Amino acid sequence: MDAFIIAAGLVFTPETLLTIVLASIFGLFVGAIPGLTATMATALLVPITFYMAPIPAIAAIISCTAMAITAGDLPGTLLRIPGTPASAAYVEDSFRMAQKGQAGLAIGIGVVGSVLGGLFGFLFLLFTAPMLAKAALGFSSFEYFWLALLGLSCAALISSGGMVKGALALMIGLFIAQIGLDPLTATPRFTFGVVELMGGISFIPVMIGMFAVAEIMRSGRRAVAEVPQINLKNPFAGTLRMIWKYRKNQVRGSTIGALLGALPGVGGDLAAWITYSLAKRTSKEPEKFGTGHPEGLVEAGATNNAALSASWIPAMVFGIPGDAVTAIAVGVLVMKGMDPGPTLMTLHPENFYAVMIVFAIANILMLPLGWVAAKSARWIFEVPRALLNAAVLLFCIVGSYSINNTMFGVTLMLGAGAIAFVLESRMIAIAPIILGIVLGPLVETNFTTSMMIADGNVIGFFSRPVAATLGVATLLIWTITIVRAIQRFQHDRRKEPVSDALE
Amino acid sequence: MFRTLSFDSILGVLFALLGTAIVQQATGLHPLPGMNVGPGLFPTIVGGAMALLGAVLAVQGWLTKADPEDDAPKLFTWFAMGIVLAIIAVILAMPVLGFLVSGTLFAAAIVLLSGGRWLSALIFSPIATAAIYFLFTSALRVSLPHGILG
Repeated sequence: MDAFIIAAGLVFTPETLLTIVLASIFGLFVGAIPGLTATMATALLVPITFYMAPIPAIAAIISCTAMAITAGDLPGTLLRIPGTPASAAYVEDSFRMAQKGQAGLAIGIGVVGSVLGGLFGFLFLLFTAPMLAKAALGFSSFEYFWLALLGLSCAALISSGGMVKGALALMIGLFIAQIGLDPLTATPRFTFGVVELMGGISFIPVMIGMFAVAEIMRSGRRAVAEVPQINLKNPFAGTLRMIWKYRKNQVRGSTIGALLGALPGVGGDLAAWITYSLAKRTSKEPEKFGTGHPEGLVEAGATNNAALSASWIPAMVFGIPGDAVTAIAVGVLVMKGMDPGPTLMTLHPENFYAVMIVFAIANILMLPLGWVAAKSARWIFEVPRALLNAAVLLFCIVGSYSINNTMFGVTLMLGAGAIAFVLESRMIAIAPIILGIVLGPLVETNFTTSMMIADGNVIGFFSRPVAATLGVATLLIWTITIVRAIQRFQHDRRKEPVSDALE
Repeated sequence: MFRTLSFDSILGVLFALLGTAIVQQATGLHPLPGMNVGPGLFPTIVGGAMALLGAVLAVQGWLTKADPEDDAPKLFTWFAMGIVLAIIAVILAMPVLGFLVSGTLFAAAIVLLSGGRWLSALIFSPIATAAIYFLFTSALRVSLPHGILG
């Protein structure tokens, strides 16, 4: 309990509270702009948090992310441009509802459902994390190696471009992490005598380049679509009644979201799609789905935010992030000397509880800010894209420069942005690269340490029960994916001559 | 049927080469005396995996026929090229001209490149540059290059 009071003292300072409010407004604004994502909002915020104390820094990241993801429902509902892959699951329903004049209700369900789902995920995190941390204290380098590898594998294998491309992205990230001094013996690797490379590739300029610069390059000159004249006099009206009507979906969506989100590497995107189709299958009126029916919206919206909160479990307990956003947050925590992992919770429980309190505040703050954002959605959509591009890019340049006060950071940012632009045009996902960069040193240190303990014998990796289970699970996931990919490939090949003849 | 080399294949070959180069570099790193594993082991595994995956991607790209090349977003747009060139120009100019001058020029170039009007470029660029300058120098205490204004 003492730790909780100290934590409250850390959070309820003018500096931290002001940071939370400002970061929330920033996240809301960026998330609501069609085409700009929550990841980009977070990436832009990181250079600023670099100069803050640890608690405000992490508070800024948490509140900005939560807000940006919820705000992504605005362009989804009003313009049919989903703000996040997760909200793409229900964009059809929310857009059609807006067309029927229920825009306020659709946004209200999104925001209130998110708040409830987020708070559910928060409670889940609050109670499971300390228990998991106790178990994790007994982990050795073997367990950590497998756990990190399992998380990385899931992230790579479920990425959109398929297994090979996801795994390649992961290797790029792991390679980038190796540049510089090796973590155990400080031998320079891949530096080619360049002094600036000795310190390794800083993660901030790379992340800014990949998430912000590449995104601007891709968005092009495309102007925002017609902003519809939608009456949003009273957003949220009737929301609570609707959520009560579909309370079963709300609870189920939150529960599944929290459970799936907690798996390292899975995250909220997949979870929202799963619960949307589950809602459709168990509904009394499945034919209404996709035509502006709130049922799936309630369930998938709740899933989305519950998963988002729960995805902090692997990040906080083991230091193993599940998606790009938590990877960025773990990067910030490490930068701030708050190494996430079981020791964070046992040695500095006040830091853990402080993070928890920030979670609760950010989720509750979502209600008033979401209301304001819904009211000002038209105004946000009409911000001229040309000015926005200039401001964002200028910000990227200064942010990358400021990390080491050298132009080298800007060069790195540009290189990373150009690479990400090319890779993403070929469906090679960026998130596994970032995860690889953040987790690379952790995986390598635990791998090399384990190899030394096991005296170079691979069997040693399976000598402890938990490690063996994790190891077998990881290998199984890989085997199943590879076998299925080969089967599908052979299947396609067999069909090919037929289609050739038909042409 | 005529089959052009798909972009995936080219990428795959590039990754295979990069992976091989990583392995070649990594095998030159030797363990410290008395240790059974050295700094080269993990890079060798990653490089090997990259080379293998690159080869698979190259073969896959070659075998997969109905390549959705047309659906893929156009890669080399003038807009994207313009942004890259503008950032290169800033990297070269900022140490000489300082942040305020080069930042204003950069912002104006991006506004025009994104289809904004001259007037908005002229008004917006100095304001945005100054705002970011004060945020970083006053609030965050980062020193940005002064260049000719210093």
